[in-house]
Amino acid sequence: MMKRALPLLGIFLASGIAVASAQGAAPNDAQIAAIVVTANQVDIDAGKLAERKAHSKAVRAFGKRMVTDHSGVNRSAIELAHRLHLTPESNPTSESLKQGGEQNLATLRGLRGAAFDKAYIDHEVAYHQAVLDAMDKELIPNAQNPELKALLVKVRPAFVDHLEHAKMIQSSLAGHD
Amino acid sequence: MIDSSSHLRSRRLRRGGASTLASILAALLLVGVPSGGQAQRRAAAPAKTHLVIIQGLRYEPQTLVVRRGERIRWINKDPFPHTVTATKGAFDSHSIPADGSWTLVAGKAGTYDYACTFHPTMTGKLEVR
Repeated sequence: MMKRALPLLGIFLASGIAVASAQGAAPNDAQIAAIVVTANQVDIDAGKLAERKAHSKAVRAFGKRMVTDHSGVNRSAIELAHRLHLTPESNPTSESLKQGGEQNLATLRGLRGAAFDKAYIDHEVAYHQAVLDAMDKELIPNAQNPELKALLVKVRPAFVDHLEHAKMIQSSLAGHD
Repeated sequence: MIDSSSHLRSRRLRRGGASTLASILAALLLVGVPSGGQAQRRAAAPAKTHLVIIQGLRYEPQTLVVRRGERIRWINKDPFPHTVTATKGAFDSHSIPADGSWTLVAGKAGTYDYACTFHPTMTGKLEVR
């Protein structure tokens, strides 16, 4: 069953902007739950670091927003999974997300000042785009439980907003180079 | 910041579940549901209250038309905070938590564009006539 979520892997590999392949078996609800929870947690961890380390006020505020919003989404996701008796099932995609997140943190920890800000924001842009692609191509279409699907649809605009927000900061940082 | 010279009077209600519960209880009292000996049945008829639901990073309805003196209540159904902030400074809810709400009493007539200071893609409009 480990193969089931493999098509998603491509999305998240490394700085992971590859588009998901439509081939292969779809993730089940328990795997989708694990992917959602991991995706949020990874961004919470990066946000906490940015809150503390970022040079620019806008980047620190963005990091704080990521912590707040993704924590809120995760509370909803975990509460729903619990109510549906859905135990999040670790899978190659959620594992890849987790590893990518750890790699990103390791890179960011070695940076400071403007270099930190740029690396963090560049990654946030790529990351939110990749999560949106996954939601649209794999997670929302394959979610079987209507409440799980509804939650994904409800929180999708947050990822759109974060992506736009990160892009705005990205261009303002570029303007100061 | 709520400017004392603002054209709209705003009133911040208690946040979170408590305010929702209080509002439900108040609504029950106003329609005369039996609720024990202390029911305040003689409260003055309240001004009309319009609801704006915040969900999926949208204000619904996005444009709302009200009359002066009416109330507008924004209810946040997203799992994270939002604000209702007039772009020209007439009113500002500051952070409305998940499941919280904020109420404004419409004062001076005019068109008020507003936004969420946390989320740049969220905008709404209030027209007071």
